[in-house]
Parts: sequence; C-alpha cells; structure tokens
Amino acid sequence: MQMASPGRTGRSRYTLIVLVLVSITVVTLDFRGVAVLDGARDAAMTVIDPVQSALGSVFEPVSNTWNGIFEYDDVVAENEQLRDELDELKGEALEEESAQEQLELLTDQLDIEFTAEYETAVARVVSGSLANFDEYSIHIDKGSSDGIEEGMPVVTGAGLLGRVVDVSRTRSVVQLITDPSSNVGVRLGASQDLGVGHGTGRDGPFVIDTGIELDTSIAEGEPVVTSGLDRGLYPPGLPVGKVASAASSDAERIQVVDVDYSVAFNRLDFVHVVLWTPEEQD
Amino acid sequence: MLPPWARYGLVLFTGLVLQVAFFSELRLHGVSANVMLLLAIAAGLAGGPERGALVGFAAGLCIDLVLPAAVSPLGMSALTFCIVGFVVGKIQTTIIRSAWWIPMLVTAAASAVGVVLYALIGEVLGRNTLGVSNFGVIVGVVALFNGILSPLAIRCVTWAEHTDPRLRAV
Repeated sequence: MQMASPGRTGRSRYTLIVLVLVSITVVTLDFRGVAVLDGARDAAMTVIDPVQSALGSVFEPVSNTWNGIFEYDDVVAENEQLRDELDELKGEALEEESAQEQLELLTDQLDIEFTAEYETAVARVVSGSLANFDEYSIHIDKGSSDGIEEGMPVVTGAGLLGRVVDVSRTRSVVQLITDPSSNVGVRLGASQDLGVGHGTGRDGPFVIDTGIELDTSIAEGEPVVTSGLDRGLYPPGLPVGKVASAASSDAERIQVVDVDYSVAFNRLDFVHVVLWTPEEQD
Repeated sequence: MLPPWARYGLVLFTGLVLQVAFFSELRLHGVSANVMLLLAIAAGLAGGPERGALVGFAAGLCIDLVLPAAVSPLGMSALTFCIVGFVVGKIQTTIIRSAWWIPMLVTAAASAVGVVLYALIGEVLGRNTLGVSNFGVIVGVVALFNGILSPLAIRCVTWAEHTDPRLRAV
C-alpha cells in the first residue's frame, strides 16, 4: 500500500473537500449570473481566441487528413448527393426565372409590398462543439462587439440554422435546430397550417408533432417555414426544410410530419446572423 | 527552473489550447478526446490524491471558462475532475511503475468514470447530459482517446511535478 503517512492522507482529503465546496459555490454563483464570472469567461475567451485561430489553421491539414480517413464514406456519399442537388438546382433555376418574371408582373399589377428583408451580419464558423456534450452547438467569430445579441436567429443561404444562445465579446455560440430541446414554430407551405416542431439529433429529421390537423393534406416536398408565432423565437418566413413524410396519429388526432432540413449541418462555413431579437416583437 | 505551479500552469494552458484548437476537431463518431480530464488523471497518477484533486480542479475551471454557460456552468467540470483526480491518486501507488499498458488502461477506465460522473452532475444541474442519444459512444471514445494519449500526458505532468525520475513513465 501507499507509504504516505496518515497525516498526508488526511490533508489530501481535506483538500478535496475544500475544492468540492469551492466548485459547488462557483456553480451556484454562475447559475445566479454573477457578473464577475461572466467577466472571467470573456477574459478567458480573449486570451484563447487568437491562439485558437492561429493554431487552428496550423493544425488544419492534420484534421483534414483525419476527417478524410475516418469520414471517407460520408465524403463520397455527400459528393454524390451534392452532384444530384446541383443538377436539380440547375433545372429549378430555369423554372425560377420564369416564375420570377411572372411574380414581378403580378406584384406590379396587385401592388403588393414584400415584407422587408432582415438585416444580417456574416460570421465564420470557427469550430463545432468544443466538448462532447454540446453536439448541438457551433461557435462563430462574431460577438457583442459586432452587435450580436442572445436570441438572434442564425441562417445560411439555404435556411434556418439555429439561434444565438451565448454571446461573449468576440464569439457567440449558436444552438442548432437539430437539438431535440429546441422548439420551432412552423408553417406548412401549401396548407398554411401551423405547428410546432423540434430536431431529433444529429442524423434525425426535423419532426413536427404538434398542431397539424388530421384533415390537412400534406404533399411530399412541400416547403416548411418558420411561423413567427411560437412565442416569437424566430421571425416568420425563414425556410426550415421540405416535408419528407407525414403519418397520422389517430390517438392524438394530429399528423406527425418528418421534415428534411434545407441546411446541411455537417459542412458549415459562413453563416448569417439575423439582426432581430424576439423582444422586438413584443 | 520554474516552480511547479508555473510548470503546471504551462501544461494546463497548452492542454487547453490543444483541446479547443486541435483535439476538438479530431472526432470519432462525433466525439473528441477530453484533454483536461486526462491531465487531471495523469496528475493523480504521477502526484497522488492531493495533486490530482488540485490539478483536476484547475483543469476543470480552465475548460469551463471556454465552454458556454448553457453547456457547462462554471465549476461543473472543476467539480468532476477534482474528484476523479483524487480517486485516481488514491489508487495510484504502484501503477505508474508497472508495465507500460497499465497506466493506459487505468487512464481509459478513469476517463470513462469521469465522463459518467460529469453527465450525472450535469443531470443534477438540469443539463440533460445523461439523455443524449450517443452517451455510450461518448464514454467509449473518450476512454479510447485518453488511454492512447495517456503516456504523453503522464510525461508532461511528471515534468511539471519534477518528481523522482525513477517514477517517469516509460
């Protein structure tokens, strides 16, 4: 057994007890949102940020190689999928052109004004999650000094990505809508039916399991956008995805709709933070 | 020569930078190594229970500072890692001098225990850490990564500890 004297053992136990108590105190203070601790976080980020950015680019070839080895299958599959999508988009672009012309014609005739576009700030994704229990978050390189505030929606050109949940001076953390605990109020494109949906994890679809009536007819590929209604977490009209399938749940008298995201969450580079906070709507 | 606390500070800072800039990018099934937990375990192995607890506490605070509050409140990792460092230090005795693979195995096992403890504490603090779909994968992959990295970590910590060279891990 250990040769340490009983006195030493007693001291180490005493140390442990003190440290545990200190930790618990710190956790408690952090829960109460004590400003000093936020300051400490900001200071730590200010020190780590530049080092992380500099080293990140140094290590990039290594992590690229790693990902090439361990995610090769995914990359091949994704490549194929992207080619398909590109072909599809080329076709759609043509259709869209004519539709756009028609739309312009009609709006001119009807004198409809489009809802104002939201102002956005472009940010770069600096890292995915830093640890293992924050798989539904990404870090972006804009913070409070760029006017980013908690609660702002984050989008890509394709659609809704998530919302800002944590802001430091130069960094923000975005909670992705793939997070099962994040609810999004949505509207179905064709029927204009309102519902509430949530993510189902990294590989799962977006599921709308509240609010869609049994008699609503739902078409595959129908667009799904934010409704702006569910306590107004998001402004209306941001694309979430397209309907993949719908199943009726007779017991609950509703339809459960699976939605394919319009955003590809595994390859994120630049994102747009919509300069809009839920409070503005109240 | 730097005093031990400064050398430990250097090791922890390097560990933190490597965690956020490098190891968090190397993922297996979406899970990365937990370098700060690894350093706590290594300190327990090389320096005993008191050192394990102290280094674990400091390492945990470091990582808590760079994680968003919504994910890991300040002090949550510190609490977990200081307990793990202490317990590893308690069972340390002859491990460090035994065959090369034993410290690796102990580190892997302690890492798995550390992740479970972290998740338990997170759950108590209302963080849905036990409920994540890939919990088993997280435990397994962290144990694997940390086990592989343990000889390096033990070497760094032994340098910081500046103990008897005979204790150096091979």
